[in-house]
This record gives sequence, structure tokens and C-alpha cells, in this order.
Amino acid sequence: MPEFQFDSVADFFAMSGYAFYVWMAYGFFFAVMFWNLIQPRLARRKLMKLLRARQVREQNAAPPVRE
Amino acid sequence: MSRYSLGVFGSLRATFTRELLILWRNPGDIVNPLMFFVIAVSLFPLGGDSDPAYLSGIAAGVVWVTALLAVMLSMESLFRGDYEDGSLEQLLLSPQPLYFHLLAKVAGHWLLSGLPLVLLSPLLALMLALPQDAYAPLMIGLLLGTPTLTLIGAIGMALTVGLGRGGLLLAVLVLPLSIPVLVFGAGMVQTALAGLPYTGLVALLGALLVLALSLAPLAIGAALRISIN
Amino acid sequence: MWQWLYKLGSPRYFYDMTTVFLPWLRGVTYFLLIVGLVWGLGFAPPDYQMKDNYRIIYIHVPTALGAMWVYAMMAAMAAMHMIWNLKLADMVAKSCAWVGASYCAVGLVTGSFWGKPTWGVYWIWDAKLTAMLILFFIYIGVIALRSAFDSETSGSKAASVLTLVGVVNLPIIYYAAQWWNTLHQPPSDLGGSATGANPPEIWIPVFFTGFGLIGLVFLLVILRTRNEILWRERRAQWVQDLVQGEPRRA
Repeated sequence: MPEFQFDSVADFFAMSGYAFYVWMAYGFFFAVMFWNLIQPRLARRKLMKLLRARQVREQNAAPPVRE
Repeated sequence: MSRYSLGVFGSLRATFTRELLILWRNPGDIVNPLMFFVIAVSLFPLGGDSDPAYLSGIAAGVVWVTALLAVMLSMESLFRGDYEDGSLEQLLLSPQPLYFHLLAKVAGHWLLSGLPLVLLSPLLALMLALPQDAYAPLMIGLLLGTPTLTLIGAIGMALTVGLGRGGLLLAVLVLPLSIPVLVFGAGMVQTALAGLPYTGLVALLGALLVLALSLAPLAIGAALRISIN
Repeated sequence: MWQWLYKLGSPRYFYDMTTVFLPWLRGVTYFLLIVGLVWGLGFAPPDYQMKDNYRIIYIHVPTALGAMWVYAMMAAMAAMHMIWNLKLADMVAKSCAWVGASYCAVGLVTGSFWGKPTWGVYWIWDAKLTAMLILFFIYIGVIALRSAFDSETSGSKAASVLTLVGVVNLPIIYYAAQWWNTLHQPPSDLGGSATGANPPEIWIPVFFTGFGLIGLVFLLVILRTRNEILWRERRAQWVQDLVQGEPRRA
């Protein structure tokens, strides 16, 4: 089993002096992937709202009109 | 019924001469890209440094990049007018193979937009203090490269002709695709300046041209069919 | 076989199938990514030369390779769309463009943060970097072209044509960049990625993040495609029923 390579948490964040590069790279990676995962969810919510509004509109319309 | 018996070659010649005539009667479409070419190149010494040593170092790249942009700017006149007056639709409906029609059209366009760039390039090379040995590779490169650039640009123009506001989009689509031509063309001049043989690059540019000649009309045709409906 | 393919091409079948499949894919992907990232950041031994900076590699290599494979997938989908007029293939291609562009961006940015301490500069015009940058431009072009059309079908076809033109061009671009690189000396020496002196444990996390990020490609493409299916099939009865069954959110 591999061991934790850093002596302390502060050491871990310091990344032996490369903190800026490592955390900037990982930060960008997490930001993009977070957006990638959240975008479909938001889009789906918006889409459902829109489709439901359409349904309500069509039900209230009398006589029903086919698009 | 003589008009219907033109045959394949007759109708190709008709497309070719029509393209030449249209451009000839709208001299702005020929002259403006050329003027852009000259003006844009002459901005570099003004914006950078007029030291001949510096200029001759960037000359090949500057001439090639501006030639590429000039070709792209001239694309507007290839399909725009035909799209607006409906003759593009007629071309797509014609019984002759579209592939050759498009080749004839692009060839006619290149003759009045690409070729003048080639002929003008020594003048600009002179202004940028390019050494004399590099004139031949520059012109040979442009002679082989501008038709390829025209064909690639025609794909982009065919994709965007129906959009009306395609100008900037055309640049986004076409510029990345024309990088190989730029690299080999400008590289050819640099190779000649370094005193190395550049015939291999002539062959490469020729190969790119052959590839573009054989594949680009297919893409242009497909793109035009999308833009028309 | 053909029947199966035919069924797979139906958006509704795809939607129903992925509904079953998604939780599994999500679980496996998250597991691989979390193990790989934690291991890579904290537990893998430091590189003998680059110390802890090399830990960027665990996300850089998979995203950069992924960006290229996503383009290949997008091109295959574009071809299927052009040849058989398969609508689902086009929806997948549309999703691929966004996922591929994001992977490409991550590959480029993480690469330059890795490059600064290693090579001394954020960017060099190396063949790989140049080709990657142009791949990113082509992704942007495909996305921009599709969104410029008002009509869905025209936009789809145009994007497919451009994708296929790009696939012919990409190998040439890579070759051109490589040739160009031999003409101009790169500004700094490319050493530093020597792997021989490192223990094999250093590479184990790459397999986790690698497969995890491949899983993430499929996950993201499927999620986007499902939304696209719902939008394009919005008039179908099954979508109407689905909308009604969906729990309301504030």
C-alpha cells in the first residue's frame, strides 16, 4: 500500500515549491469539469420547465392545436 | 436547340468564362484584395522596425500570412453574388457533374484573385528587403499554395454563404485549415535563405494542391447543397 | 445485428438504455477519478527530477489524448450522419464538440503550467502543442458554425462537413508542425520527462485517471445527448409523458 508522501498538510499544499503550477492546473481542471457536469443538469432543468409550460399551454388551448 | 448541346466541356468553359467575366466587370472584387495585400504588408515595417535585417527575417511569414488573408477576403465574391441572384441554384441543378463545374469556377476565380497576388509578391519582397535568392521559392510557393488556399477558402465560403453574416466565421473556419500550406510555403523561403535545397517542399506543396483539387470540390458541393435550402 | 443497430439509432431507445446505464457509468467514473486523483496528488512518490510538479501529468496526459480521441469519435458520428442521415449520430457529434473542446482546453492549460517550471516558459511552438492548439481552434469552428445556422438540420449538416474536412486536415497539420519544428530550434531543451529513473508506482495513478477521464467523456457526451434528444423529440408522446412524470422543482 502506498504511503502518503507529505509530512504535513501544509507540506502537501506547498508541493515542494511547485504549489502555484500544480494547484493552478488542478484548479482549472476542476473548474472545467465541474462546469461540464453541471451544465447538462441546468440545461435539463430549463428544458423541462419549458416543455412543461408548452404542455400547459396546449392543454388550455381549446380546441387543441397540433403543431 | 444549340444551347442545350454545349456538352460537358462547353458548359465547363461557360462556367469558367462566366466567372472571369463577372470578376472583370466588378474590378473592385479584384483590386480590393490586392490593395489589402499591399497595405497590410507595408504596415509591418511601420508597426515593427524598418531595419532591413529585421524585415528580411520576417518577410516570408508576413507575405504568406497577408496573402492568406487576402485570398480569404476575396472569397466573398466567389459565391455571394451567385447565391443572391439564384444562379448558384442553377449550377447545382445542372446535369453536368458538379465537381468539374466547381473546379472551373474556382479556377476562374483564382486566375483573377490568386495569380495577381503571386505576380505582386516580388514587389512586396523588395519592400521587405528579402534577399534575391528567396524570390524564386517565394513565387513558386505562392503559385502552388494560393490555389490550395482558394480551394480551402471556397469550402468555408460555401458553408457560410447562406448565413449573410459569415465574414468573421469564415476566418475562424478557414484559417486553422490553411496552416499546413502556410507552414510549408513560408518554410520554403526560410529553407532557401538557409542555403538548403527546397525541392522537397515544392513537392509537398504540390501534393497538398493535388489533395485539395481532388477532395475540396466534393466538400464545396456538399456545403453548397446545405446552404441552398 | 442490423436490427440491433437500427434500434440503437433510435433516440428513444438510446434514452431508455442510458437511463439504466447511467448510474453505473457515473459510479465507475467517479470511483476511478477519485482514486486516481487522490493517489496521484498525495501518494505517488515524487519524481526524482521534477519533484512534485510532475503531478500535473495525471490530468494532462489523459485530457490531451482524450481531446484527440473525442475528435475521432465526432468525425465517425459526422460520417454516419452524412451517409445514413442518422439523427442520433448528429446529436452525439454535437455533444462531442463541447466535451472535446473542454478537454482540449484543459490539456493546453495544464500543459503550460507543467511547462513553465520544466522548460522555463509557459508556451513553446512544439509540434504537439501547435497541433493541440489548432485542434482547439477547429473544435471552436465546428461549434461556431453549428450555432450560426437558424435551421437545426442545416447547422447539423454544415458542422458534419466541417468535421470531416478537419479530419483530413489534422494529420497534415501535425506533420507540418513537426517539420516546421525541425526547421526552427525549440527555445529550450525538451528534456525532463525522463521516465527511466522513476519507479513504476509513479505511473499507476495514470491508469485510474486515464480510464476515469475516458469514462467522463462518455458520461458527459451521454448527458448532453439526452438533453438534445428531449429537445428534438419534444413533440413525441414519450417525451410528453416523461415531462409529466418528472418531479417539479422550485
